[in-house]
Amino acid sequence: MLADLIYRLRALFRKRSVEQELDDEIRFHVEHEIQTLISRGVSPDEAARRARLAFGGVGQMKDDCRDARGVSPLENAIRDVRCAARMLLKTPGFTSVAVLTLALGIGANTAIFSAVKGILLRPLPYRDASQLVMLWEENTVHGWKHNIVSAANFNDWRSRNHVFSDMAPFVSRTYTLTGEGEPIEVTGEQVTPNLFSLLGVTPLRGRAFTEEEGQPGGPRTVLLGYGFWQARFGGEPGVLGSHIAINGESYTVIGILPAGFDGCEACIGEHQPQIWTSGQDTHPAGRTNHSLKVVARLKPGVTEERAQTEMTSIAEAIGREDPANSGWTVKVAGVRDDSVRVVAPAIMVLLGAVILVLLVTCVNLANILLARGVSRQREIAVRTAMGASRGRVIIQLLTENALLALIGGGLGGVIAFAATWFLRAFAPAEVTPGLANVGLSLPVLAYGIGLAILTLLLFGLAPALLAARQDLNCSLKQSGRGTAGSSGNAARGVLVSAEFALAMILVIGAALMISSFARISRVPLGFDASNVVTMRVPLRGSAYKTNDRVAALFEKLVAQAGTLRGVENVSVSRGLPVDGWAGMDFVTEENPTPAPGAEPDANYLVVSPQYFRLMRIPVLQGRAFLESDAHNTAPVAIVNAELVRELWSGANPLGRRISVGTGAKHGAWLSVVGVAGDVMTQGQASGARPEIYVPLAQYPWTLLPRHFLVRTAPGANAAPIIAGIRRELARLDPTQPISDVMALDAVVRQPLEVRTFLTWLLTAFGALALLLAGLGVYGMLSYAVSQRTQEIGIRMALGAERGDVLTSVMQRGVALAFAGVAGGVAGSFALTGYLQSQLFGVGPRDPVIFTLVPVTLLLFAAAASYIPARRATAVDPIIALRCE
Amino acid sequence: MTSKRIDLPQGTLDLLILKTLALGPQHGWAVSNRIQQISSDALSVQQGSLYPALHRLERRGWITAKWANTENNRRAKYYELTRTGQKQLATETDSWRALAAAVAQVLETQ
Repeated sequence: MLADLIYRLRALFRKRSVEQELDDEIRFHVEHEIQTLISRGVSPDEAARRARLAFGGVGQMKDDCRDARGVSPLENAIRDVRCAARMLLKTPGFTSVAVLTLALGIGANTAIFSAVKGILLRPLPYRDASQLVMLWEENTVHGWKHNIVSAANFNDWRSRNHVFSDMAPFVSRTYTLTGEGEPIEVTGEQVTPNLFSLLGVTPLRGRAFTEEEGQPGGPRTVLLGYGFWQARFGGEPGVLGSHIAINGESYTVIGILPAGFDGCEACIGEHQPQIWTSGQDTHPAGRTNHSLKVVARLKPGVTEERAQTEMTSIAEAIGREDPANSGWTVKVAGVRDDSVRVVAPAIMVLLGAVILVLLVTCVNLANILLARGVSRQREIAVRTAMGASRGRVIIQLLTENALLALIGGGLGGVIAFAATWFLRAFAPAEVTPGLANVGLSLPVLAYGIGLAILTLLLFGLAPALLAARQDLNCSLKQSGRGTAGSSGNAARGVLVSAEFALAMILVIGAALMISSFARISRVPLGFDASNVVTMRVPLRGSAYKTNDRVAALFEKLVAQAGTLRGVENVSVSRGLPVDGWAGMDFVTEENPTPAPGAEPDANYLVVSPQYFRLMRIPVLQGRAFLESDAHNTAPVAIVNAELVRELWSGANPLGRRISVGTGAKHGAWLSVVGVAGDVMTQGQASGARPEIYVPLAQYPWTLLPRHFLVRTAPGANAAPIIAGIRRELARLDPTQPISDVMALDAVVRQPLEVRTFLTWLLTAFGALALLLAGLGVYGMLSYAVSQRTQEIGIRMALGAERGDVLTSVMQRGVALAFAGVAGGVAGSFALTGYLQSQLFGVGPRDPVIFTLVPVTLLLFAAAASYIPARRATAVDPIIALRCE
Repeated sequence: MTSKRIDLPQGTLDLLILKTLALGPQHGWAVSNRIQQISSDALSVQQGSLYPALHRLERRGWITAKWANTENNRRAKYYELTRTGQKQLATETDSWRALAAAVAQVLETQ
């Protein structure tokens, strides 16, 4: 055993000397034989001849000796790898295409699958997250989904249901923090004390809220998020028990929540809360005032479906008892599904697309491997004739393919890494929870490489199997320049068609997305977003308990900001276009008591007189707000054209009176003094919705402005203007922060982010697939032409025109593409339906796209076929025939 | 001459080499020559089988090799039977005899 090992090791590591010894031994044997023969009287020449003859094949014997030494598997492997590397280097075209195909396929798939895994399957920071659900209201009459919940409904749900072990309402809000440094606005959640036990989260330090702290008027306490604790207080544990000023009141810090806990907002994919309060502000009561988000925990063994059934019947019962709730029902949604509902459809589309890319990659690999295999049949036949066993040939091919897979896989890993970084940097983060934590998933990478290896093995071994099947003599005789038509070529044709079919589906998908994007971008916003800077100015604290005080400060700030250099217009606003809907029920004088549930509703905006001029929103009828519209003059309102269309069927609305609110609780009667042009306040995809504008100076009774808008002169630098506004606000009230300073342009683009991103990725995938398909047809025809050089030569010698040759070659390419495109059209027809949710203004089976894309692909195939076809026509008959 | 030659049955070459080396260390040529001589030219060892067999036996530790000078003062690789080789020779000789006897018995049965 030991002798064996030592022998093998010596043979392996002192290979050169061992080989040398063998040579010496053989030489000795032959020379000794010669000497012996000479001594018997044979002539030296004859002796040498006989000795050599008697010894037989030296190469074969040496190989046998190596086998006998028992080191050959390892030695062979090393030799195979070297040989494989040489073979790959000898065909740089094949190698680079194969490696690139592999790398792109593996890279794209690993990145997307990693991202999907990170986003859809990310661990949620709650105990038994699968039991947690969000409860939303849905209005079947208006078609509203994911509506926040009214307090009365929440109370009824809680008392009547048998499916939840606990329920907790919360409100996403922002707070003003003052104290050290500049005042800042922080995001947070106002919660009930049971929320943390419901979620199964215990504070890292300190404690959660007590029952008493949850009562209105109870002790003012606050919990800090881990990130906020680190950023604002440097992770100082001494902050526990200290007091911080929130909205002008003193709050005691009672606890720090663990890292990774991103509140309930995270489970619905919205902004990350940084602090939590409880109890202080009571939720508006009543059936129609929707203000709460609700999270609940299912009782053990209760499914989402059962909860949904029970909640639906509870909502129906409430609707029967209280007509104000008619039309409203409940939606039960698991927190995981709910957190990704905005991006999930896009992710699914992306996943489908990347799987198609993977398929194209595999088909393309198979294609080029087959081509290589066919052209290597002769080489393999030579090897076999020289005495290589079939096993050795197969191992040699396996080694080559394994080497390819390794290089391609490695490069694919690098691409995946880069792509993951790209996704993190450019994917729409706001709607994609967990995106920041998306990393390269090694199991996914291994899966990708495994798939590549499988493809390589499957198709890379084809030549070995072909060679084994074929008669040696036949392969050797075949000069490799005969006529076309081997079975390999037929298989390649099918593969090229398949590539075109897959590419077709991807390109159609991309075209539909691009068309949607173009259409949506062309939808007029109804305002001019350029050169407008927006910022949040949330006035909070005891100084702003009444609306007149808020209005007074804003009016001063508007006046001061208007004097800054480079400022054209200034206005406040409640809500920014394309961001935030504050739907308010309202009544008209003609119909002051509409049936419950049938009240008209509109987006409610509070603005300054300059708002319409600033936003470049046209006033179509009547007038804009004036400085003279003040708290002591007749209350006025401006409505948009959509509201006039919906409510008064386009009749002249001037002088009519409306009132915001319903039933006994509506506000003052407002005279309509103007009609404003429609604005896409909910994004271009949503279309115009009814809107009511009221002037800040008349102290609207609900919903205060939070935004401050400035139109700068074209070319003016915004930075000094923003600094000037900060300075003015600090002078007026140093405890008020300014946050979220953004260009309105950027705000407008936000709702399109997912769409933009998806469009880009699908376009990239489509282009990649198309490129691979083009390479496929090009490679196949090039090969076919090189195989048919002699045949083409004969044809031309017999009088075929160059044009005939060109057509015959191109015909084959286009025919294959045509078969693929036909298949692709059928496939797209079946698949694009899944894209529906991402489309705008174009059907998933848009006839124009379903015509243009196939035609384009066929032209592309013709172009790819043209190059090899041109080469075929360049064949010189004399040379082609002499080549034999 | 060729008509008298017998192809060696599988596995017997090892036995013959071991037996030859039991007489004393030899180089490859001498081993082959000796087998031929002793068998009165009936058995001929192909070099293509001899050397792989020698290497195989060396790997198994039944023989060892060292370089030494021949009587003509040429360097040659000499193979020598080891202790395990001797044991192996004994076992293989026994089993060969048993086999040969058994085969003979079968063949002589009328």
